[in-house]
Amino acid sequence: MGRSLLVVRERTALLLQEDALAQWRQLENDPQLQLSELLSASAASLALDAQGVGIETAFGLQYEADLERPVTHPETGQSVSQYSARMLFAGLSGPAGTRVGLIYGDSYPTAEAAASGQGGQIRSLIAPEGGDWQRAEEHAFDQGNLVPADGFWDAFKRCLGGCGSTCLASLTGCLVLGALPAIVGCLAATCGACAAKCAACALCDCGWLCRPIVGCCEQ
Amino acid sequence: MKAVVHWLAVPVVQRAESDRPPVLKYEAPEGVVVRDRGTAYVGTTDEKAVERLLAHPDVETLSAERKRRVELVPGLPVPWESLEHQVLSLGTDHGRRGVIGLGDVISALTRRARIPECGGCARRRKGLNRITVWGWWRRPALHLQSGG
Repeated sequence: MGRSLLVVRERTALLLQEDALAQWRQLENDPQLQLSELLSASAASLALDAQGVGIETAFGLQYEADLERPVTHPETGQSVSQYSARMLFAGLSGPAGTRVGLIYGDSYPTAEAAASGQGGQIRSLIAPEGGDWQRAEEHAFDQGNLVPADGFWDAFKRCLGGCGSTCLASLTGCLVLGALPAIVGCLAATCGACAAKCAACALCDCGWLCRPIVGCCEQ
Repeated sequence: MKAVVHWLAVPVVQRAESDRPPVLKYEAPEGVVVRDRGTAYVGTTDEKAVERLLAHPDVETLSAERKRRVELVPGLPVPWESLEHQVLSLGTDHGRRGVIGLGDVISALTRRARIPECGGCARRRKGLNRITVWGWWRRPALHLQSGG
């Protein structure tokens, strides 16, 4: 199957350590995201000292599509000629790094963003003892508490299952690499452009624009 | 004829909306982009775009020496050639399109009814998504184990 008829050009991007860290630093300054609160609550849930726990490693995936012609948002009338989605991953310093990861995802434009002014979403991923990221639980920070959240990570992994045999074969090897950014970097290298498309698909909550472009991988 | 992948170093600029990530300074062709330390390395097979980009004085062909200095995945020997496969694979689809699980169907219905999704609902949704209601012929067999 080819790409969406709506898309004339597509780009996938790997955001390496320094660039991804810079983007995380930008997010740290956004009080709405409550990044430090999520970080502290995630560390505390593992009985780790939240002091001194910070983002140490990072990696990101980005997908961009140029559309064949501008399309109009059915409700706001906004005209759109490009769609982009990015997923950032962070690993933490200290002992937390092997069991806690952060995922941030946003896309532009989205119906939700246009309507409410809200941007991306941030989640923490807490792996069970031994750092088994395959069974990691995803959480959001809501009203002062860590609450289970729809899984960007689960949707992303599920989608990677359709990226071909080389990608599938690499999954087991990549998942043992320790920190989350290293795992995703490994998957991005072996699964190819499909990994960035899967990141976009995992972020797509069946919105009006992303659905025909990257498909609907509801979390 | 086999397409040739060209790698160019292209500057990035901050957008007017400061909360959004920086973008390539010039119109980007179809391809794979590696973003490292404020520069974008663009891999593309679009010859016309390469010519257009190289007309700018601050765009240059990525040298083999510079490629060697970029560690694509820390701790992993990932060659640039593997990224060239990615450039050539653009335009093909990923596997998830069209696979819909039962949890997603119920979630879509409750969302239409404007019923908020609780934490427990999210867990049940994940569980129910193991039951594929559409696209079962596309569902990959994915059984992962960590630790080898």
